[in-house]
Amino acid sequence: MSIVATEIESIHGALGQQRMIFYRCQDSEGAWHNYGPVITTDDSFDAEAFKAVVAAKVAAALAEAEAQALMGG
Amino acid sequence: MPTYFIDDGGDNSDGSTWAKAYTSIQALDSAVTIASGDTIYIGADSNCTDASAALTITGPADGLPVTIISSTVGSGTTVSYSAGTGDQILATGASSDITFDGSFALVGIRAKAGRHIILAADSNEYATTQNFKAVIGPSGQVQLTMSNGSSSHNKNLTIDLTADGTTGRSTIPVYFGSVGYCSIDGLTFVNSGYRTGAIIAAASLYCDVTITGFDFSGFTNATECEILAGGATFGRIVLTNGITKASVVPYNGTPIGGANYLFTNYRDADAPEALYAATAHGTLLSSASIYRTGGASVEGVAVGWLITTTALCSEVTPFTTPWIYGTVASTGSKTFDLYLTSDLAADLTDAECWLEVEYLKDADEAQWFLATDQRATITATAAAQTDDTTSTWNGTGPSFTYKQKLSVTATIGETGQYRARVAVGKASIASTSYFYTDPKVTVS
Repeated sequence: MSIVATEIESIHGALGQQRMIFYRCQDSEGAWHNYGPVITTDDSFDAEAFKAVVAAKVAAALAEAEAQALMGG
Repeated sequence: MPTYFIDDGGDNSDGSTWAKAYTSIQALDSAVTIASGDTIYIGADSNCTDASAALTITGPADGLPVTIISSTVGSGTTVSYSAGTGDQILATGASSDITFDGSFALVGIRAKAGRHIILAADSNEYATTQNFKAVIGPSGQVQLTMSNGSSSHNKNLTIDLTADGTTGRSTIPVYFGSVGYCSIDGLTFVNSGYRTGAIIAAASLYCDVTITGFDFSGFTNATECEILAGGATFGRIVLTNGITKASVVPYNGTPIGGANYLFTNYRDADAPEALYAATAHGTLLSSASIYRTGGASVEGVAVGWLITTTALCSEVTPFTTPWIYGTVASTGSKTFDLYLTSDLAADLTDAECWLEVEYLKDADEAQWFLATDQRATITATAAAQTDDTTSTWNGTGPSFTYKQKLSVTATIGETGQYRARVAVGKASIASTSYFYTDPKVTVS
């Protein structure tokens, strides 16, 4: 299973304030997986750029879950 | 209950004085059977002379723990507490663990492992630590409550990750392994900047963990300071009053049945309004940037509570917020109001969202009674909760499409404390619904 799409689901708050950024990824079977939110007061946090990190993390989690399933865990 | 001494300056004979001290805990453990109630002093700057691989120190399965205290080396049997600076307990090698297999109390001890340090390894064992320095290996963990019924109480626990060097390590440094209870009052790290994953993980078993006074701010290379790793943990995990990076992810996953997470005041600076609460039915996140004018504030910071729910949420399995406590100063009929807003597709009904108030109904009675504006019965026709036409909500993101008021009237028979919470019985409310409550309860 791989990640085919990563998007920002919603942003709560604006720059200069506390922001909460919710992400979600779609896997190759069509299922959506949520990530976050990232809660930040750091205006330099790049919510768009972070999508790549989210995709990698969700992919790793899915791979681990698949491995666990194969091992009967 | 004998007393033993360990010091690298001892003659390794019988451990009865500093001069006759064993030179390692391995030597002591080989020579005698460590038993419940024993006390062991280790020289504060003593370096273990027995560079064994994996080290298991066997203690009592029940009864008093074995107490191991770091002390300045004196003459005869003179002792004086002094925090450890040497490698007092040591296991070398890339995958060498130190396991405290039994009940132990570690006071000021510094233990250094090639990989993990494991406390409370088996059922019904307990570990108590004070000022314990756990120096773990690259990719090592401190593992606590590792078997059913074990417990661990820790004050000022320091986890030293110096062995990580400057290489990124994905291993989660703190791990709760089983059905046990653990408290950590004061948790700090050394060289935590190279751990790249979450900070805490728990097994897929019920554990009860409370951590207060933590410092996670050094996890500068972690993925936005993920506190709790995703996974099937159905325990109760409470984190209170600690600091993190400026960007933080409380939990990377979806809680399963039995999970109950509560984090308060966790930010890069004091943030008493910061709250995260999650169960299998939903999640609450506080926001300091989306709030109702005249609504709740914590130490001057206005706050709103964002609520999302999962597919497991329903009227009979609702997500409930933490209780909000207040007092009523006079008896008689009182109305408790609480406000909310959302961008859902319609107003919330009294089958989807309601206020629960517990109060003292009868004079001179201690028992709380529950009043609610949930529909009267599960089969009654649901009705929209009251529209709120007066409130002003603030913040970027929501459209504040719907504004409503939850309202409960009760007759107070005894002045004193009440508590209230919001219950949500509507499934799959996503973050895109911007469903916020104002956690201020107005009593009139």
